[in-house]
Amino acid sequence: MVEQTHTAHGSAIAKYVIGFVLSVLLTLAAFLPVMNNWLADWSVSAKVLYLLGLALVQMMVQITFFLHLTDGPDARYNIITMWAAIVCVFIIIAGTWWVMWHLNYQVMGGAGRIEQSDVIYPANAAPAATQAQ
Amino acid sequence: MSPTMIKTAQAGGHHDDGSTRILGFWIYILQDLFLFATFFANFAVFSASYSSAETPKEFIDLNFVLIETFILLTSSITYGFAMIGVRKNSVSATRLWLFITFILGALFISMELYEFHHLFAEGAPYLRDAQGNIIPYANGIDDGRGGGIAAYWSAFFSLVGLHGLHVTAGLVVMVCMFVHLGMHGLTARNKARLGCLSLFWHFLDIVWIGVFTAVYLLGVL
Repeated sequence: MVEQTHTAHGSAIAKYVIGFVLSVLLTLAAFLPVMNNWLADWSVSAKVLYLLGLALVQMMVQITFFLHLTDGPDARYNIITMWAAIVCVFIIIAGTWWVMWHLNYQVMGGAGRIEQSDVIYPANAAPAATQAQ
Repeated sequence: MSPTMIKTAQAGGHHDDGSTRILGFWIYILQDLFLFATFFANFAVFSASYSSAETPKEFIDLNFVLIETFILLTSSITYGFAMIGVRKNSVSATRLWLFITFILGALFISMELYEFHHLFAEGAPYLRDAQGNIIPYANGIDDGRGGGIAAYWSAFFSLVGLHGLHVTAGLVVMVCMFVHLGMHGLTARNKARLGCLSLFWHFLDIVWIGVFTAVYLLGVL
């Protein structure tokens, strides 16, 4: 019995260390290419997919190795509620992005985002007015 | 666990107090995740709405963010070691690792506050006029537009600040746990409390992965 608990502690430490090492590697895999400009030749969407992919993998690593959701008698409910929440989070973030992008595109004249608005800053409209003259 | 014990656990459907608490706290964390999701969605929508304020490219220091990330990640594993101390019934080990986690968390928060102060001191978030000067709040006629902050920076401080507030709350709970441990030691209740805090702390590290990716790494692309 004593031996059993001893190995249980050992495997618990091993689990944390494996999770930590994987997280460090995934963090470096995300930061180093951006810091050293290794992705300069990539398209923007490829960079975004690469970084978001690494983030998702690291989140799964930390959920697996740090959260211990599968311990205890309520393990099944922990996992079921987590998946329900993940679906909701996806709907909130992706749905908001989708709706707002289309509103911006359809309502703002298809010009994309407005970075400088001459409605709010009359001063910005001045150079254009002098050019017209 | 002996076979008879497993049988009774399955047949009786009896849950110990700690495990039910963990499930309840886990459901709280998941609804907290919805709050973060709305802030992430808000940030994604305004991710290019700089208006006349500065863009984040010149202000984001990835070395600084990488150090912050490693501090928070290390605090996650030191909290794990505190939980191993709990399982070993060792108050001293729990206290030591909890203290190290607290120091790392406080360091993280200090760095974040320094960063926020730096951004405001440099005037990054403020709207500017055509000459590039910050529009003062009282510019003769106060039309309510001066001294404003661009939507991007508003979303930036909301998202990063919300995470920082959660970390601060975690630090406050850690102080409470030092008091609880000092008064009663590792009782079943304190073990359940530490288990809940463990979920909360690891959850904050997982949310930080989303923050450093969406805000900082995608911000400098």
